[in-house]
Amino acid sequence: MLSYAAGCYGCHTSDPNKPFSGGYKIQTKYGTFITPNITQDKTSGIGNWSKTEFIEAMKHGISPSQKPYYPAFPYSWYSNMHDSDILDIFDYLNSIPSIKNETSPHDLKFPYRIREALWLWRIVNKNLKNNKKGGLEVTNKNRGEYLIKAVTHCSACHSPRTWFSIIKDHENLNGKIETKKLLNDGSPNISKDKVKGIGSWSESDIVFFLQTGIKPNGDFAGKEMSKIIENGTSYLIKEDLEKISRYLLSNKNN
Amino acid sequence: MTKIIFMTAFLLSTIISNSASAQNAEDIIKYRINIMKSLGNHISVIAANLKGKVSINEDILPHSQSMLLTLSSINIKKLFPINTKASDSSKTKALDSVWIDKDLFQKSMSQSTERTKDLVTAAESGNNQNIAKSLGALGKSCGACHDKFRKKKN
Repeated sequence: MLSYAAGCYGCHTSDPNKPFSGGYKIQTKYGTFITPNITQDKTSGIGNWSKTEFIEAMKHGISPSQKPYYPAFPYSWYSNMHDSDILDIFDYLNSIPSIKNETSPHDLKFPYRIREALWLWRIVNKNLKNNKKGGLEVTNKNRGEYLIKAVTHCSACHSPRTWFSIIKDHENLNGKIETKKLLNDGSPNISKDKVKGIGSWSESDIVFFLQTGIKPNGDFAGKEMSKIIENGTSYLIKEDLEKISRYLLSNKNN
Repeated sequence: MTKIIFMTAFLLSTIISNSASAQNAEDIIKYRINIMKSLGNHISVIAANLKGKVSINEDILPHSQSMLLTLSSINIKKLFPINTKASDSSKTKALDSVWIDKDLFQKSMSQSTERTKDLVTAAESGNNQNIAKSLGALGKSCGACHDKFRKKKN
């Protein structure tokens, strides 16, 4: 379930017959990111990775060869995850068929293609330092917050970013205005604001939306969110979706 | 003098004909928005039952059937005349792609009709899990059509 809710399946699958084998293209204003193979294939996948290397990649965005990952990989959210949840994902990826699939490198514009520049981005990004070691504390009460901030990483799309592409405030779910139509990078306000956000929705409205993509007025989620629902949130059990809904409707900071 | 009378008559007739066609465009836009809204209302009714907000499950089948009737009877040529684009009127969100990719638009509409037939079949079975699955598939089909042919909401 975690491998789907966290977006691993959605982002690392371009062909449903070859799940998790990468090759999915993410179009951004920086160019096109092509996701890698995360099946256990030893040459094209992550079959040679140790558990420690997997945790390092997921929580700190550093590859086994000590290279920084681009933030299209949402490790700054996963850093809030508990190691046990991350290892559950690792075990799941170990349990599925290994697929050989060499994916192409990212096709990025200059200067974004200079991976070393990411070290600077990491210094400037305070969010990376603020994340709690060992992950967010989880109680039955804040499981919704944990799922949103660590697993489903809603703010990755629904929070405004600085010009340096750093999330201004993870609590702010006021959405983003589309910058260029082709990029499709706008996202709606999902704060509890009754007019601009989803404050007028009920808990069951949010649960149903995250299961089916159908809004309370009978309209539907857009293309990007539909994919996230189909490949991600629809895999969450109803109780977890209810906790997410409760958090979204009660979040004091938005 | 005759020239002036002719010119005035020509200008007046142009203004009247333009305003008549503009009014017609606005009316057809309003009309098709109402059709789309009616589809949304049927979906809301079905969804309210699936969410457990109300327990009037016997409403699911007639609302699914109504949706199928509505979708099947849509005449794209009449409902989307050329002068009713978003670039012509602020009252519509219909993108130019409706007219540029006519065949694809027709195909997308037909796909949604097929998904609605599946919904009716599921509604006839009375199994809410199947109904939710079919409604989700219909939603995906409608959403895909909106993505290509409807202006994004701000």
